Amino acid sequence: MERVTIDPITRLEGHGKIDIFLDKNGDVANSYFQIPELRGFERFCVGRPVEEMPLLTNRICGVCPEAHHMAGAKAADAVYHVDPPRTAKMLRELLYMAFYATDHTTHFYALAGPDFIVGPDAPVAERNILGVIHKVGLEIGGKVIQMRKYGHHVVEMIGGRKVHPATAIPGGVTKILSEDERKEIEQMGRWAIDFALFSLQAFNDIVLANKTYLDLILGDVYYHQTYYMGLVDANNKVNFYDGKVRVVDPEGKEFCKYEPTDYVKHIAERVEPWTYLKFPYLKNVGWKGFVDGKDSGVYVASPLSRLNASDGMATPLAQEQYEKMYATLGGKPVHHRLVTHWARLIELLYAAEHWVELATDPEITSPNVHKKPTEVPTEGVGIVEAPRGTLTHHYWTDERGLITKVNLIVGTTNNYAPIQMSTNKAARALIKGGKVNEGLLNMVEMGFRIYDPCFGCATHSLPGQMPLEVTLRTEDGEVIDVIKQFVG
Amino acid sequence: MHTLIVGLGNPILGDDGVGWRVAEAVSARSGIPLGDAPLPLDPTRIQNPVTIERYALAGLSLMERLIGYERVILIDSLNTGQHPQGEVVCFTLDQLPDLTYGHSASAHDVSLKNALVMGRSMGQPLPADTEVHIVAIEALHVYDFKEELTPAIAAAVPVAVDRVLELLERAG
Repeated sequence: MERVTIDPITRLEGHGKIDIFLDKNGDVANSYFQIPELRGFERFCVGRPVEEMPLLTNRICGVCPEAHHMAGAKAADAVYHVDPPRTAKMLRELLYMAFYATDHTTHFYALAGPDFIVGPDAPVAERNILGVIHKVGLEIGGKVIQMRKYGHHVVEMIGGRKVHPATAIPGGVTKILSEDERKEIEQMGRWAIDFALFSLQAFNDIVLANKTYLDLILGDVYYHQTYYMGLVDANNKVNFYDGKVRVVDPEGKEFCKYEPTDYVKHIAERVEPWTYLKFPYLKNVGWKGFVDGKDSGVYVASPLSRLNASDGMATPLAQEQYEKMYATLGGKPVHHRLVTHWARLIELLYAAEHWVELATDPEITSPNVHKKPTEVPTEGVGIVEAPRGTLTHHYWTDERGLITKVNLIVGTTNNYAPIQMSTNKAARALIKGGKVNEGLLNMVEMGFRIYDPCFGCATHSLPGQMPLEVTLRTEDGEVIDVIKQFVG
Repeated sequence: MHTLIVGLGNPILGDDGVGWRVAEAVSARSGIPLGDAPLPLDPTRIQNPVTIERYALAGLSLMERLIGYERVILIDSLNTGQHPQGEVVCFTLDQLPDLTYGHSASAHDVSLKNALVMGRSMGQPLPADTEVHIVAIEALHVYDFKEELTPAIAAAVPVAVDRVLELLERAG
């Protein structure tokens, strides 16, 4: 057999790069964070029937197919001007809650956990989920696996397929839920509530009770005053599946609240010369660069931003935790970015509670799951909250329902400017006199890990992970040092 | 020996979909149907000696699909720039460098190696790293939305199919 050596660094072209420019004193002058771009999606979609979009878009990436499936289905409903029956909406939402619980669990235990349970400056070889299990015990690993298993199972039962759900179509869903399935889903949801409470308790005991971590969370390195975005229901409570987009200013006051169809009136995109990706910002504030404050149109779309942009959680236990979080941190909004991890666990609890609410609704097993579209298709927008930010799908079709134009603003894209600002600030604060080591590098990385950025595309080809390369340069661009994350 | 053959990749991202195309061709050549088996939560549910699947998964999610199998053949695109386009390379997971250091920069997940260690420590029946065979096809165009393979990669499909079938035959 042939033995191959894979140097992951050769895979870095256009991906996961942080370029840090140092001044004459070796301090950070500026930094640039670049993430990959998938090309040609619009061209790929044009000419296809709009009802294919919920299936097609959920293949964009392997990380949040459910979010694309939902946004795609809602946009397709809008294109056909059809309002699905209540049961259909509930089934979509139930699937979505199970997905959220799975996704937030993975992020907390596999990505945030290593920093806060094992420690941000622990040896790199221990700073992973195995280190978390080693430190906390096997029980935690078992629970994580169990939570994921239940989440997958619900997605499979309602979605009709193991990985990429296939249930949502314009006007509703294709599959009725049986009473046996409902019972099983309810039972799993109740377990998920206990798991979410266990996770919040672990966060309390391990993170909040540790002064070093608390100082890190409440310190200045990961602090930005920006606008915050999130979907809210009629009572301004956090909603993942439906509602209006609400934006609050850095003081926490409502700046705007709009219907999904009006997103173009509120969001514009900034082009920078050093990256292919665009930076969305609030059109009615304007682009002032990568800066904090009320005059800067930069906004965040994340678990913390959703909580900041809302008046609370729609379920009782999550509401208690919401109140506790803001009481502990001195009110709303919270600008300390690392608190996003706490917010994510509160959302996990909400997802689990709402999962049970939906599974126990008397109408959830109703056979009325589809309304046939009868109108001529035109144009439509669908917005959901993906775990990692507000996800917008906008489709235009001809009168036969064939796609003529597509626009997507994906979760991570919303946060491109905030991620840039966070990594830049962390680099400036931590790299002094030209000295950088692995621990400091990880602290810089924590600046973007907060946002749970999704580079789903990067997980597919081997070596199967998103490599990160940090290049230190002089002001003139001359390379001083290159730190390659995957070289042991 | 229960064997799982998995075509990995994203079928709408150009050459990234080569794993799927190889899995489909293996199915056609061998007569083993493409499976859509439920999650093998209970390993005793695995009935057929050989199962063929197509997934767009990595890390923990991929590990969860390998539970209950003694041997796995993963077919994937390889994007190293170290081989000519379309070259087929075979290795086992234990030969892949330890990428655990990169966990933090990964796309919302852990490495397959770490995921397997985690799964095993949870008592899940998972194949050893030496029984996770990887048949990889060097490909460059894995970030462009299209369903077709470029000619060099399409030409590699039958070569990769041969390698998969050889592996299958060798271990019986």
